[in-house]
Parts: sequence; structure tokens; C-alpha cells
Amino acid sequence: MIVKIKDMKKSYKSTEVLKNINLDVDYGEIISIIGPSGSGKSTLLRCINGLEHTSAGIIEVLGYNISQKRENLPTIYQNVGMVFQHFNLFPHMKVIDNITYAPRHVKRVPKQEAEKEARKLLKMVGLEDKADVYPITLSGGQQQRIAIARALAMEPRMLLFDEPTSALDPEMVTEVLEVIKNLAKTGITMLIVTHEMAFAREVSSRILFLDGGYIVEDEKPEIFFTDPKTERAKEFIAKML
Amino acid sequence: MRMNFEKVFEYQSLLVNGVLVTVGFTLASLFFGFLISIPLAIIKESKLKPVRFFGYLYTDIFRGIPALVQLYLVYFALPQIVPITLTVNQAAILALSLNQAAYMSEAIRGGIESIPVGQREAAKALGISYLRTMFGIVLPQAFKNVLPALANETINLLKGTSLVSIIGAIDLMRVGRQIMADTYLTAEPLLVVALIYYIMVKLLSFMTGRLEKRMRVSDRR
Repeated sequence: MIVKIKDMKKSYKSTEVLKNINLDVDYGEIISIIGPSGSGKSTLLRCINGLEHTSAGIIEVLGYNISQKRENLPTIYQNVGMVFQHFNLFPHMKVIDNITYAPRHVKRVPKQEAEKEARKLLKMVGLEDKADVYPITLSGGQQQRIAIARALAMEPRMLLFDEPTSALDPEMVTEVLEVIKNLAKTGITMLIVTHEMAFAREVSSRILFLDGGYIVEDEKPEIFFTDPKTERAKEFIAKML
Repeated sequence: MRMNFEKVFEYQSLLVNGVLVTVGFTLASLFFGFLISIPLAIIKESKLKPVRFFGYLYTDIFRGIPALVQLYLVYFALPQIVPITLTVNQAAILALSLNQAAYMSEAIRGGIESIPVGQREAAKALGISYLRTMFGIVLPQAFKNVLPALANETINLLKGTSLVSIIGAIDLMRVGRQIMADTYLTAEPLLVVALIYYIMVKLLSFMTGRLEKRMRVSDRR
């Protein structure tokens, strides 16, 4: 298991966002996390890579307990990649430096080697000609593809996507989803918070449906989308499709 | 009303010297003040309350006491409290640096807070350490945002150096007073000194304007 979550809860002050989460993720799984806004999808993702501290329960990632032992967090940061809704590229660095910064300074990869690797990743996301420009010159879709390349540069064991296409203009959604679909073929474990139902159905091996801080359904996509068990999921799917 | 500037210009070399001393004080205090202001700004952003409190206490004290009083405290009172002897120039630079650090750290703190939290989260998610995130990602962006404020502080510093003439440093202001004493002229030397300060300030703001433009490269489409 790459992720093991047991009775996890997460509150912000007096509001309980995640109420009782139990989840096992196996190596190589591609899981889409869907649900209405405010259901706790992003919070769940952020708890898994340690950006948020849980209020109760146990989270193990790559065999490391991160809910009780915060000293394990640096290991998790280095081995779990995250792609954000708003890309969060470093605006004062060129694209190539955005990608090589972490490998060079965290893993001490020599500059030349890191740049060679970065160019391969740029090619993979279809932006090999953009190495020497600043992020602001790129479209949202291009920036998100760079952000994916940046996350991959650390050679993570698992990638988390937090609504990767929600901040994009509609015509740019496809190019980003294509990149994620191609990644799915490499066998890397991925957890994707998304509102793109067709994409979730196509790419995932498993769908988690969150509502009100609980995992309400945990199903294979073909079953979830054609024959959801709960009323709540039925309503949600009807609205989204 | 008759003016006699010729007599003032006989003291040209003294004036040049004064300018150099003033510039020297400005640069030295800017350098040390800046050096102190960065850890101070980071301290003020700390998650630990006592650490944060110390940062704010420092700023509060140095902004709450007149610079002239600070100068006196450093030059006259400090050697009485701790066993050190300071030359006039050392005391002047120490006092100006400590004072400048308080103002600059506030500007830099504002700059740090102006950087979206997503930048730090992205760095964290990549495994980049806290200090490296600060120095490699947050501060470089923050500086760009606070450069106008820092330039402003530097101009205030340049003008503020005129205080050190009071404890006996031979800066531009002191030279002006010396010319007054030597020539029995009042308006002329003061006007010349004022004009020189004014030109230095203009030059400084021109230079920082250029620097600002250059640092905006990454914002340009």
C-alpha cells in the first residue's frame, strides 16, 4: 500500500472538514476524487502530502507515518509530487529553472544533468521550446504542463493533482488532460481531484465520491457512473453529465 | 541682498570630502542595515510567538526613539554600559544601521506577506527546505515588490546621515557648518550643502528607478 488512512479527521477551528476517512491506495492505482465543492476533496489530498496536519487518525504514505511523526514529512515532500489548481510556478525563474530548482537544491543533482532531465520532461509535455522563457509569457494550459514537469523532475513515487484544470480556459483543458492521461500509462500512482467527469471515467481505476467529509462511494468508474449506490451520488452525476 | 558663493567654492575639496563621507555612511549603514533587516523580517514571520515578539520589539524600540537620541545612546551611553570604545564613525554607522534595519525589515516583511501562499506550498511540496524557500523563492520576489519602499528608506537614510555631524563626524553637513564658521557666511554654505544633498537624492532615486526596471524583466510579456 502506498497510502493507508485510518479514521482520519481534519478540522479547521470549529468546522470539521473530513469526518472519518478510511482509505487504502495500492501502488499504480489511478484514483479520481470527485464530489461537490466543500466536500473535503482538496483537504484530503493536502493531508496525504502533509501540507495540512490531520486532527485525528493515522496516515501512512510510502510506509511512513506522517500524522504522528512530522519528522517524516520531508521524505514525503520529496517523494510525492503535487500539481496545484493555480500552477504556482515561480514567476522569477525561467521555465527550465522552475523545473531544475528542486532536483538541484534538494537532491543535489548537478546542473547539467538536471537540465538534461528537465528538457526530456519538457518534451514529454510538449513544451521543449519554452525552456528559456518566464512563466508569465505562457498560457494557463502551458503553465500547468510546466507545473506537471516540475513535479515529475523530483521523480516522485506518487502524483497528486488538486483540480488541475479548474483554473483553465475551456480550450486549454484538453492539453493538460492529455498529459495526465499519458502519465497514467507510465504506472505512477495518481490521485486526482477533478470536476472533469468524462476524464475521470476514462483514466481512473477507481473513483472516490466525497460528500460532507465522508467517502460516500469507492467504486470502479464503470460501476460508479452507471450504477451509483447512493442517492447523493446519483444526483451529483446527473448534475455533472 | 548680496550673495557670495565664490568664497564657499574655495572649500571645494572639503565639500567633496564631505560628500564622500556622507556617501560612505549611507552605503555602510545600508549594507549593515540590510544585513540585519533580512533575519529580522524572517523572525517576524516565524510561527513561534516569542521569536516573533522579539522581532516586533526590536522594530518598536528603534522606530519609537528619535534617531538622534539613538545616536547619542550608541556614542555616549553604550561605552558606559559595555566595555567597548567606539570611534565617531563606528558609532555613527552602528546607530544608523540598527535604526535602518528596523525600517527596512518592516518593508521586507510586507514584501514577504505579499507573496501568495501558493509559492511556499509549491516549494514545500517539492521538498525545498524552509530557509531555501525563503532565500530562493520568497525573498527574491518580495524584493521586487518592496524595491520602491527600500529605495525610499535609503533616501531617508542618506538624509538622516546629516545627524552624525552632531557627534563630530566630518560629513557634508559638518563641512557646511565649518565653512559657515570660517567665512562668517550663513545662507551661501547652507544653500550649497542643501543643493548637494538634493542632487544626491535625485541621483539615488534615478538609480533605483533603473534597477527596478531591470528587475521587472520576468514580468514582461
